[in-house]
Amino acid sequence: MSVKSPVDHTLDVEVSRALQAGLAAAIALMAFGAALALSGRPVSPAATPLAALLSALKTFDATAYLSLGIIVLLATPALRVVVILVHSARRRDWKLAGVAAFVLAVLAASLLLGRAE
Amino acid sequence: MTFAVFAFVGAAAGLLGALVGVGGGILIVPCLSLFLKVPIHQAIAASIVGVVATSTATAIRYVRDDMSNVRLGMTLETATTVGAVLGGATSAVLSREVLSAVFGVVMILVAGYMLKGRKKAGHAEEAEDPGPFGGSYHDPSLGRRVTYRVKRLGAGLTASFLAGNLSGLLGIGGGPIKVPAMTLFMGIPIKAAAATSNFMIGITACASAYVYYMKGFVAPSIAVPVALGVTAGAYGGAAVAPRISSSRLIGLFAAILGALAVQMLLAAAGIRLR
Repeated sequence: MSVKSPVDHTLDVEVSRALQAGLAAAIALMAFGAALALSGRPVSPAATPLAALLSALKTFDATAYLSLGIIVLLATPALRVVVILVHSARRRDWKLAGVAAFVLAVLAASLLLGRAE
Repeated sequence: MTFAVFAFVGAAAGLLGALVGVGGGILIVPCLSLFLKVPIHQAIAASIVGVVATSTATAIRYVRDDMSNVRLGMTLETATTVGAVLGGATSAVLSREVLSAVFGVVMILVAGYMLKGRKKAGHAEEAEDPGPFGGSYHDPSLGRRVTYRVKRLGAGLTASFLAGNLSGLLGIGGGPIKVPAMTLFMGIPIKAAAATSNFMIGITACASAYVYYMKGFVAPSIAVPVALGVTAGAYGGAAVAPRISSSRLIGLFAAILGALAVQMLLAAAGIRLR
């Protein structure tokens, strides 16, 4: 007999699905980038800068697809927090929603910190 | 060949990480920098990517199987992410040798506490009422449902802050601090602690991952095979973990910590094994 409430179980399912989607997209992009690299396209030592990413993707640049795969993978943890925030807000679980919002704010701050350095 | 070597390192780290509830960073960074001569910042960046991959891959299974305590994990993450950001900001002040020495000492202490508290951590402190932060899951090795209550949340938050601090400094997930804190201080069963830690680790690593990406330390030719390898290893570890007894998990974890602590201390003193 489960002690966990149906609401919490639904949250677990939604988080799991978000993680699956993010991981699948990241792996697909990385695999495509690896295939381009194996076909002979060069791979840069550093990841493609965000500003140049879109144009590089259009030219099937191997580094760009590898970089985008990494970006999607690194965005997945934030995605799971967003799912928790939305779910808890929908259920009016304001304590959990507040916790999730705080964590998202800290992640956003770390991103800004990285840009400023 | 290099791609395959990086992928193998990732796979081995992912497998062991999934079994003991760490993100694999404690294995990836030493292997890449000490044995494969990867520059330390690129090794840390690749490790962070691998840590996020491990956490995501294992969290899918653990969350679905009710082992991850999302509510507790998110609460502890309020302290962990703040610690990670502050850790990244202070990393410029401390040298790599000092950081390695500090981490080596901490790993030895954690290994010792895990072995000392083995009996306690090996058996769930069960309760009928899980309370606001407790949880419940089915343990296949025991053949029944386990319900636990969380104690000493303050101590858990403090340990989470320290874990986040180390994560930002050294590019790891912080699991070696979080898991013992949950099992020894908060009374959480090892399997639930490992699953919850895996859920948290990716969020903690994310706090510093974008800093490394913006700084240009992420090398796709290293980070991608590490991430793909660790994902494959983590899936295998997640499938096997529920069938392994808690005592074996703790013993393996302590042995890994001890071995790596020696390496870190030697590296801090400028001594290389190879």
